[in-house]
Amino acid sequence: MINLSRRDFSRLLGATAATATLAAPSLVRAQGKARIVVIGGGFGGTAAARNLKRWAPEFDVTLVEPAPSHITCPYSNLVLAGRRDLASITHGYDKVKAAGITIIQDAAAGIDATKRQVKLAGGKVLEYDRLIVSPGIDLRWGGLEGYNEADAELMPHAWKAGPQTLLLRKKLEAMPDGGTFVMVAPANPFRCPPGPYERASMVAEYFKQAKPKSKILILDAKESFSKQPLFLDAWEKLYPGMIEWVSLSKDGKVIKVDAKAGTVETELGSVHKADVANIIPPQFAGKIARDAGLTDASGWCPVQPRSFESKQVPNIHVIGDASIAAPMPKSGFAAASQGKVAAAAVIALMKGKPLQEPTWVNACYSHVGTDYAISIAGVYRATEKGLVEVEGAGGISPRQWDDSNRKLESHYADGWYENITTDIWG
Amino acid sequence: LRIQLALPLVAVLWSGAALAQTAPISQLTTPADITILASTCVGCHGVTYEGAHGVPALRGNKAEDITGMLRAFKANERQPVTMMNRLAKGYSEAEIDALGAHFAKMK
Repeated sequence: MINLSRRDFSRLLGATAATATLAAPSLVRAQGKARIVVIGGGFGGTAAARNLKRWAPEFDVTLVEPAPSHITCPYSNLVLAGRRDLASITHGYDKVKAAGITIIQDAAAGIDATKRQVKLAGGKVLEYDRLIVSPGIDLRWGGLEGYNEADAELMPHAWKAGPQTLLLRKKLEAMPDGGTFVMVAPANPFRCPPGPYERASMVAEYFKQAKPKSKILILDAKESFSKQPLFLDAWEKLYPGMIEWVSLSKDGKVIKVDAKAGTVETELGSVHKADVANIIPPQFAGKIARDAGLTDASGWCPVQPRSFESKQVPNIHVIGDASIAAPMPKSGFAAASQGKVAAAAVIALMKGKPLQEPTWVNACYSHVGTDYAISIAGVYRATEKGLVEVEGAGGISPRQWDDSNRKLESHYADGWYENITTDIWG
Repeated sequence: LRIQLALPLVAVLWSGAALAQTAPISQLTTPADITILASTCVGCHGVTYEGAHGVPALRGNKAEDITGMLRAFKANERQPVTMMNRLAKGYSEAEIDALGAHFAKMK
């Protein structure tokens, strides 16, 4: 090929300067220090930052996160059960910083994809060669009639772990024995597909010990849910008569909430009175992703399967719950895996190497009762056609298992939580 | 004239980029691919693959022990088991060999 200086190259391209801007950074930065900015210090973003540093220590990696520590949604249902406290699911960034990652405790206020800059709420501007966006979810206030941010004080969502988790726990503790806990579960897609059902199980565990005459009513906008046969078997065995699940076709879809009256109303007009209500509203990608044009009409971010680079904005990768990564679930483990895939892709792209065609796994446990947990697993592969789940692999724990296997999975679940949080924040 | 000259060059650059993005799926598993797959094992096998919570270590095993175990899981010939049979069924033969070599290198 003709040897052109960058200046000649740009001049030759003339009117197509935008193309030069796209092509230039990887060529230029291949020799220098690549600047990678990661937005969001949850499972996805922190795993991406950690693995960028592990696999390319020479890269300049910056993690932008407004909170001083991350409270995980995984295991927050165990806080509701009274098994754990919030401190045990809170992880700081000291070790992340010690790994050589620059931590900026500030919120990303905007992205200028043309200039390749992130503007922070505090006014600072960060330049990047490639950006990884892992903002998680936002709740769609008003997506469910009558349920707005202020209503979450009366009827908590607890779908972002932290004060909302403690508020829901407090309400459950204050509920009299014989009361009804109503949970409103959303349609797909949403964060943590088995989450609502693990939560119902953990609340049942608490009720069984502390207020055994109480009831749990799950009003669902879906016809089926993750690990369903295993949850239903376990509820019958561990909490007979306590948990009622109402599917979409049985008028389970809630269309209106009245937080002050303590009621929820379904599609066909049934009104249910709750002593304690937990509303899990519809969701979409975090604000920064929506503002930056990374989302499509669905409210989620379409990405290239092998790199998790946005299909809509160049040089930006979107991972975790905000991305459209079906058949992968929106889970912490999936987000962390995507962080690793995106980190490897960013390194390959910055060094001008071909993208990988990785395979990876997802392992997800749900606690259902004392010494009783269940799991779902999947093996995924990134191909040209998209993300695929490898056929014949994965799936849920066998239904016919005895108590010893459920106990073993409960033990492994605790190990899983310890390992994955140590891998990311430890 | 300049733009006319420039267009074929742009086309060449873009097709080069496109080629890199959509290289045909290789039957061979590259070391980087295996690093990603192996890195997802930490969830249960411990952050340095040393084993954790009763889940066995991967580090320090002979390659043939790892591959033998994975093939036994894949064929449902290994007990006790909770999840590894479900996972091993998703690994290609090349991936199993590469995982064996990967963990054998860790002392």
